[in-house]
Amino acid sequence: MLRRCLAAFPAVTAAVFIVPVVIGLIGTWLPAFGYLPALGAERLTWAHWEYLLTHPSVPTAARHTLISAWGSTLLSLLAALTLLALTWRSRTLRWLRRSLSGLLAIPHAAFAIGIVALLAPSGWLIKLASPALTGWELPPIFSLVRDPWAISLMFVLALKETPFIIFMTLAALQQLQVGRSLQMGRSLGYTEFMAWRRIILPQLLPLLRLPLFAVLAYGVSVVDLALIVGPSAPSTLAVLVDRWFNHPDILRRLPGSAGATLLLVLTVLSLGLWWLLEKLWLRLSRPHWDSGQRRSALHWLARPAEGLSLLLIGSALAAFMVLVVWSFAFRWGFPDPLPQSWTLRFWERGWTRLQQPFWLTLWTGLAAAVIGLVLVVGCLEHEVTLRRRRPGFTGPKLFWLIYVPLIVPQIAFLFGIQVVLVWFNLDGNWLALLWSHLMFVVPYLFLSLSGPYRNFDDRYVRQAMLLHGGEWCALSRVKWPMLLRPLCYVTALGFAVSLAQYLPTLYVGSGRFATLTTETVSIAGGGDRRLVGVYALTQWLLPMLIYSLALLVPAWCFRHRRGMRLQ
Amino acid sequence: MTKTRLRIIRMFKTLRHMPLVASLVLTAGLPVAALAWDDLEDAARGQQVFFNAWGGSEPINDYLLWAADEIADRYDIVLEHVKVGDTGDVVSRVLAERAAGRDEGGSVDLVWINGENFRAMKEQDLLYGPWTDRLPHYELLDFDNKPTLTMDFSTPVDNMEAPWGMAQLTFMYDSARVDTLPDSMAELLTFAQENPGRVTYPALPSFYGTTFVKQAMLELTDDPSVFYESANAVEDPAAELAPLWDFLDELHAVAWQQGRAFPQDAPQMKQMLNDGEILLSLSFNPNDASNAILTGELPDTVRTYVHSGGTIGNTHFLAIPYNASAPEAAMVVANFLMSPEAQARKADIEIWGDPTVLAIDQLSRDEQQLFDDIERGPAGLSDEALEAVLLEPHATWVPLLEDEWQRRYAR
Repeated sequence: MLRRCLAAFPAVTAAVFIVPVVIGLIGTWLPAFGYLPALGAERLTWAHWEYLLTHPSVPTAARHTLISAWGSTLLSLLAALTLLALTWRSRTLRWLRRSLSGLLAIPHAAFAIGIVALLAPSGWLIKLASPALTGWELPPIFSLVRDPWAISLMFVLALKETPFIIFMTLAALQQLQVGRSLQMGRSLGYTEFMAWRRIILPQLLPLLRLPLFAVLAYGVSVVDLALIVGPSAPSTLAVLVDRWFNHPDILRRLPGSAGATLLLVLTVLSLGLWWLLEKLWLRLSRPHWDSGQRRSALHWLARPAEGLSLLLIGSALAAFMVLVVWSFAFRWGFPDPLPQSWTLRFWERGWTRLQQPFWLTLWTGLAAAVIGLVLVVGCLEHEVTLRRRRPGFTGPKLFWLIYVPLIVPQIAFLFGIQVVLVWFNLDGNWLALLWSHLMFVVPYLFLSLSGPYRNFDDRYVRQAMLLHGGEWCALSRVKWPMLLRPLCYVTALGFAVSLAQYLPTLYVGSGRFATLTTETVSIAGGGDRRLVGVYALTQWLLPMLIYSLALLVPAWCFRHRRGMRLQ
Repeated sequence: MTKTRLRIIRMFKTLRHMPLVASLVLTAGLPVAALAWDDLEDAARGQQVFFNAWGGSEPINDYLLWAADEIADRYDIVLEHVKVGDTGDVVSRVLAERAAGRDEGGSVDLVWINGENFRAMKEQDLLYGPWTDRLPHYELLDFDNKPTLTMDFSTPVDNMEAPWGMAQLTFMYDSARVDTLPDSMAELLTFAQENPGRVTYPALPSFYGTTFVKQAMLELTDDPSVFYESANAVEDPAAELAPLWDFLDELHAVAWQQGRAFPQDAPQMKQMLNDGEILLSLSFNPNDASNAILTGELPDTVRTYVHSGGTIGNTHFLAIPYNASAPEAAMVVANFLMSPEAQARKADIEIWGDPTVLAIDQLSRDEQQLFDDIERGPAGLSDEALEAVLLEPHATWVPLLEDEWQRRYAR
């Protein structure tokens, strides 16, 4: 019975989330070729592609997009790996691990707003140093943020993605026998760093492919971060396309659809190129693996890596702090190191204003995380039962489809989905909203839970079944309690993913649902940093609270079980 | 037994709704357009109005909360402020609804709109109406002195949207940092050259940026009348715009970030003015600065000015989408928002500071008093200073400006 139930999970999960994306894509592709009867456009034409491809801003915008997406992916991968390799088993790593949940909980936009308030020419750093150290009565005219080369956008994206890559790498490393590999390397005279490079990295990269795909695709399609720290003349391609979708000239939505399709093409090409580069790197570096070289010239990286982890945590902390200070400020000009006058009014007002969005966000997030967890655990457990019968089975072939929502730029299918939902009278419906969040929660849950789940030693379950006989009991009394830590952790992650959804809430909710994120985005439009501080901090604190719970619950449950403690 | 009881309950329910049923029966055959105002107010009772309006400003959000309370008390209508980041999102939603064939029961009942968005919705038949001349407060509008009440960015309003507030391009500066003010675009260039890196304007196609560029366009020509004709009727539009691009080339050379980066919009410029990153900011609301001083957003030394040759002025409106679920209630809400009481409160700089659309001299003594009681803000301008208003150029120039601006400065 349980088995038959499980068999339905992959099909249901895939169908529920893939079909809409496909419909949504069609709803974008038709207008891209000139078909949108609602606007009286009914003839298929290439004109909108021509408009797109000859638009003066598009080449540079596409360059900004590629620089920031590729640069941030490579940087965050490099940062995460050096950091882990050089701090493995050290106190720094333990420290980093503990702060990881706080870092993962950071909403992108809040982080970027904090970074700008910190690093802008009139940011906190320069305020603290002026005029005493710098002599500046006015802020300098050079700027570290919003540079016209998209470099600051790349760094902010990288800073934001590094904790996610670290998190995914830690999960992947559990599948590799890192300790033994390193020991083996040491006994052969390799430095630890070399052992990482030669032994672990080649096994690790294929395992990190999917998370890196998600990061790369996110970098191509991100809009909010690009608006806050990105270049402005022109902006990135995603921002340009987003503008066309909002353009007062309604007909711009047609080239906008073509632009959204171009974004998708760029994403797919990028992912393909990444896959090729990964293969190429493995092929080309293979001859060097047994070159016999024991030490690495790159050993000097150790210190910068520690610096990097400090920078990572430090920047998040500083961005957090500057938002806190702004949220209590009444007047704060340049070059005062601290506000001239303080007030509680923005918190008082914000609190009353945010109550409804707070509860809606909480319930929607929890519901999405829990439903997502059930679906994902069901799928993974189904895989386990199949593997028991057919050793070597690696999961249904078409299952990668579940990642499609992470990879397809949201702008490319949300308009289509909106039309379909209105068609079925499902827009502005809480269940539809929940479902749209699940579309993004499920793949992230799958991404982060599949490692620990697939790694679970099946012998525990078999033993339990031998002793008791029931599959359900074996799962609920042995396996899931033993997996409580990752289960709690990914639930928190799912919550954070749901909380961060802006465009889906906007498009599917028909303006009927105000979440912390939609409220923050709309208040950010007014640029009042004191209010933005209050909203962004609330949007940050809620997932942090959930993450803390996800850490505390297993710790409390396992307080009498030494074997289950975190090493 | 239970069946009977159910039937009785149902009967009572029907009885309770008798007045409503009666009015429904009476009005069922009649389209909304034929209802007298009182009947329309009755029909609107109990309806819910989803008002889609920009939600970036706390004073504005607070004002709408007050309005929602009043409207609930007086008309038994629930006013929900749907905070939007961009009116384009609302247009998209109405469009999606039309694409899906939902020609009634739409999700937007009232939308804060003007200019290009209005023109697009009107041209695409996405608006309900004409309806505004049915509002009792329509009579109080100041048509004589405010030509933009009937021409929204050169598009005839045709009673398809209700005037809500007045706007005029106004510059802000910090008097603690700036002594001599530019009085024209030409002087602005000199000012920028004397203060390199301290002058900028929002990137196009933000409508703040577009208005700045339009203002420059009107000032830099010998004969502005050409810009009030359709660009398609002008022989060589590019030649007319040449002085503008020369001016912007020179301005960008000394502008903030040397013209390689621009702020997103006016709210961002307000922050940059507060930070001293730039010396001049702009706004569409002459009282924006005063309100920002009171809320602590700007220092109390901030003042405003306009060019003595006049600056572009326009009006912002309320419109009802063609498929609104509650057009009656939306009209009642619009009528309330146009009432002397609501307009006076809106004009109060401690509340919001948005100038009124009403002809104050046509109001009753008491109502006039409401407006007289409003103090001019610390950064407010005299009525005389605000008298020189330039009309928006013809809408056909806007795409020319935007495209060429992007080709030159955003590539």
